[in-house]
Amino acid sequence: MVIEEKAKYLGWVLQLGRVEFERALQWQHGLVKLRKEGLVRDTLILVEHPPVITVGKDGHPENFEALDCEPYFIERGGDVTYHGPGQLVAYFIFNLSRRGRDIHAFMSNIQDGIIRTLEQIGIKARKDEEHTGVWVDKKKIASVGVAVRNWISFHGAAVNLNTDLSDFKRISPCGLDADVMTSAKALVGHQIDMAEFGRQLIEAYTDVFETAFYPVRLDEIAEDIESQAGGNVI
Amino acid sequence: MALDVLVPQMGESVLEGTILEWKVKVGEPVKLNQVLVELMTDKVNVEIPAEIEGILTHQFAKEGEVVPVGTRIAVIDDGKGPATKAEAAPKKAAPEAPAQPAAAPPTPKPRAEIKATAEMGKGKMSPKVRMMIREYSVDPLTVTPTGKEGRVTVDDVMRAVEERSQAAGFTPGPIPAPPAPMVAVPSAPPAEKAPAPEKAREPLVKVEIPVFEPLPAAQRETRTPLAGIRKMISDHMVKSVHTSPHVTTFEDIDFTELVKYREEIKNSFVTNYGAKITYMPFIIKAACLALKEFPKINASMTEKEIIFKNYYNIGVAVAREEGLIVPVIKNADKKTIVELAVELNSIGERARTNQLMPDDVSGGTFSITNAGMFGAASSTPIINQPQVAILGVHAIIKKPWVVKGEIVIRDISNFGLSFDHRLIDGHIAVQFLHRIHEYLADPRLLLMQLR
Repeated sequence: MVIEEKAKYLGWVLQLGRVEFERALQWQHGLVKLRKEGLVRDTLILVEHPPVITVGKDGHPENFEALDCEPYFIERGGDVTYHGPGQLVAYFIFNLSRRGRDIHAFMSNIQDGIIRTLEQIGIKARKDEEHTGVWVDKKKIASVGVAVRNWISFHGAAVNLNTDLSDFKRISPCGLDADVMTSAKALVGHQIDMAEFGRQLIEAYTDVFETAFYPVRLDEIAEDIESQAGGNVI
Repeated sequence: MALDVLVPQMGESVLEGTILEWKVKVGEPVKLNQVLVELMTDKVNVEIPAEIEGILTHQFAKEGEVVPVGTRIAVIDDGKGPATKAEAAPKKAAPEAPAQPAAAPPTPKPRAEIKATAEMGKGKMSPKVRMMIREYSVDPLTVTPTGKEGRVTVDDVMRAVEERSQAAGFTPGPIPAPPAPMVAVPSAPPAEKAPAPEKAREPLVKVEIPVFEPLPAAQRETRTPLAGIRKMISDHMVKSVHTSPHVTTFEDIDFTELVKYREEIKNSFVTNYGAKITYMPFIIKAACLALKEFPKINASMTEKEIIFKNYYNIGVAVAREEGLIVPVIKNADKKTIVELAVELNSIGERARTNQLMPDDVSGGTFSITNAGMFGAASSTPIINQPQVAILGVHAIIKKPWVVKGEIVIRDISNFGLSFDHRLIDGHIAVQFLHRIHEYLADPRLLLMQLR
């Protein structure tokens, strides 16, 4: 019975489930090229990764030097972070040229969508002037880091829903103390339904980005992504 | 001619960026859109592309340096126009991309698995061409490639579409537009055609309006007797409009609180009670309370008398293939929201599977019809005789709404109340509808009326 008001933009949403970081990274690269060519729409990707450490362009070696594994060095802004089971990761392949090329507003929108969705499960979260990300009191629940290539954005945000927080202790996330990280589960005391949260997040981003996100399946666009990314997708 | 590379505008509140890394050194050639330099601002890494082809002749900022928006950070010389220092740059670094030897087609990257699907056709395809093949449902094997190195061009696909429609007997060859394309297809033909500018403006898809022969008389129309439930509905509608002077009053109902509440409970509700919770139980409850306050609306009439009903049986219209039916929730005022929800589920199911008993559809005192289920924003329902009013509820739509002088987004549904003006005066109907609004806008008020 509820009908969405007419959105300003049309987009796609790809819900991938659990996928390895590197593979999702290839898809992002493929989609960025396709988006530049105008062959795909603005695409929101929701995914969960097996445990992995990634380092952004602002990476300081002292924040991840104690690692026993090799982190991924990637294009996004920010320092080191951890992805793993129970964490919902959202990637944004958006053409910012069509959205006023306002990077600050874009980052702000990414965080607002998360804040709105957390509110629905009873968590009052906020942005922080100094430290990008989504915060609950003095703790950080979601990290944000984005790259922009030819004004096409990629990378995005990672929301800790049921994340095992002890995994952050292997690094200094975003150059901060590992204890600063929290999760929705830790805050509300029970497991969060990730699929339901993802659905609500899409709804929030529909409002925030004035974009109606149509679900697409990976196999529908896999060939094109693959041809741009130069590797096997499926 | 030399072109300055500036730190781009990146939004009103972004005033500067930090140079992270130069991707091109001074004296090196750059291609169009090649990344020159990476800037960082606010956890965003922005790659600045070259806007022309040429040679990077200057860099004015070092890595790690903070540069304000609008600062000139580099110069690219395209080697054309007035002579500049670019002459000094190595001549070998041609601005063109290194050309492939024309005779020997480059060996494609080994991509074993994907080959089967992506390159099943006779030639290689760009993503754009592949997208067209999907949108027009063209068999790739029917496309004859004419592009360089055996590539399939956009024109090749269009030709295949045309040939297919000719084979199917559409002699004028109108090419149907692709079914609701999800992706905008750039309308310009590919680069091979570049020298013919007037050709470039031709639409990609030329639509001609087909002319069809009229159908033979026997097939033009189908007739069936007016009988059964359709006949009953037809008679009832005509009788109702003839009997009651209909007036419809409308009010936008603020559902914001209810939408929130329902979102919160809907999952656990199914788990607990095995039934979906819709807005209808709340609407029925609100209507019953309002009916008690305005007894004329829960009434019927003959030519001689008015019959006030002291029971509240609410008919809820259910759409079916065979036609509308209005099962009745008996004594709705005495039932809880949970009981109403469960009964609505079961009665709706029985209506759709034709298992309603005569008792299920008789004895109603007031009716509610939900056209919003199918997206209607507003409608004027016809009274279900011998009742004297019917409430039409509609889609809940997010709308700008003024609250305390500020515009906010609220979930709004337009309600239309059709009433029999013989019995019900306008001010009664308007107040009745407004009372329903009050209960639905603030569902806590329903608590006050709990027994």
